[in-house]
Amino acid sequence: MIDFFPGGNGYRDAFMAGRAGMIVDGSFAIGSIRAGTKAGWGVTELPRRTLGGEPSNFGSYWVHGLTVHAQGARRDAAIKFLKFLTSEQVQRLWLQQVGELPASRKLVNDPQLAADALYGPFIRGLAYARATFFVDESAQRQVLVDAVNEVVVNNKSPRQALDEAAAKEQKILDEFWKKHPAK
Amino acid sequence: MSVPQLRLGTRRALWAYTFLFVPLLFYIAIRLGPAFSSLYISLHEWNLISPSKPFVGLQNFRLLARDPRFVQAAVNTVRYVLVGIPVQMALGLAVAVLLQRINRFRGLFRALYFMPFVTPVVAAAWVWQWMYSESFGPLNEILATVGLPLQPFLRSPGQALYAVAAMIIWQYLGFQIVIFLAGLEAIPRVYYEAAEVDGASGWRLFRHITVPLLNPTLVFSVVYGTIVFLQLFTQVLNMTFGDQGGPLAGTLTVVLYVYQLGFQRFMMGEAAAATAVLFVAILGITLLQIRVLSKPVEY
Repeated sequence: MIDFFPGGNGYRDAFMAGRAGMIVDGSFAIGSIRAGTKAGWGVTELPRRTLGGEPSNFGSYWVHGLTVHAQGARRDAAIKFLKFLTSEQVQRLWLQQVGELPASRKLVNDPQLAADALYGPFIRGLAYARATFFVDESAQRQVLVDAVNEVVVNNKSPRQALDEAAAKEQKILDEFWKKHPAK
Repeated sequence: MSVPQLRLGTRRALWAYTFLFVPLLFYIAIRLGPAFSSLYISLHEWNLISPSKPFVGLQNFRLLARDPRFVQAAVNTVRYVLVGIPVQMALGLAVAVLLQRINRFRGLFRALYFMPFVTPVVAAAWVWQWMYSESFGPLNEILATVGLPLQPFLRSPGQALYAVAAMIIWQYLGFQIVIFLAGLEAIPRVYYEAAEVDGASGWRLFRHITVPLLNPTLVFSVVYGTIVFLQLFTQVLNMTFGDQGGPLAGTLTVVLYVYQLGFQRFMMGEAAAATAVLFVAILGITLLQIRVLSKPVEY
């Protein structure tokens, strides 16, 4: 239910306002939920489909990068800045303020962090998480949003909606790889 | 250096041209220039972040013709016009005629009707999104109170387009009323008086005097309103923020799709091609409307 609750982050706002009892969200939401939620709340790993079944999780990530235009002294400065951004000190601050898991093995393997009631479940979930390689994120997102709506609004069978979504997504991927052959 | 003596009239004209030149330069730089460069871009495969931008002829236009989302956006845009314009014209004219009949509080009513037009569009769109909310909105609360079934409004691919069109009609109604009022005021009273002496009244006065003499105003209102609907973007984006143009592309417009192609997927070539299609459509529809609707009236 994409627009269950009005607003830009409807589902999260609904949770913070006490209108939704449970949401699926990323660790990046911890900061705003902690700041805006009055009721008690907690975090747990995603449920499994069957009791004792295979756990599944989606791990999104984003990367810092250098563009081809960064050359010479600018490139050196950019590398220095990236090193600063990924340093333990900055990543710890980022974690505390935003809640996003640090891109630092040292911090992720920190036993104190793994035992944390809020961050712990996210870190345990990382062990079996898969990441999607997006070639056209907004188009790929649209495919899944439409599939959910086909089921919720148009009463299509989930199996059929998912099959159709898979075919559409495959087409986007095929077109991308046709244009950008893997080296 | 000696300055040749110019006549006063010539000097004045030169001054005027000098001042007109500055906005013209600005207009060329930020309006005409980009318009032509977008035509150029539409003939290229122009990924914003790819260094190579090869010429591909009309391929972008062919891709659009085969793209179900673009076709849906074009069909939706036409539906917005077909739904919105008749309702907007009928309501605008009806309210204007009623306003013209009253003497007390006319200014107050006019101001109230005009208010939505000066309300910030984005804020208004978000308030409407709340009003339409399936589980939390006041509209469904009213329906529930009087015992009618709850409606999904923006959550339904069938209803969402009409829900958005209603917001646009509300927003532009005041503007249309003011234009119609000005047009009504310009019709000389003597025509009505003469017709009344001849025994005409009510509907016949409206049908044979008001409508024909209001024709230039009607043409302007229809053309202006149509362009507003053809360029629809901000209201749709903000009212369907989580799934912009949704659900299932039910509210998607051409301009919103241009934005998604160009600025979310960086496919500038296809976005520019869609813009070119929209430009030709707006130009064609506007010329057609002016041609078909304009009727010179002699009394």
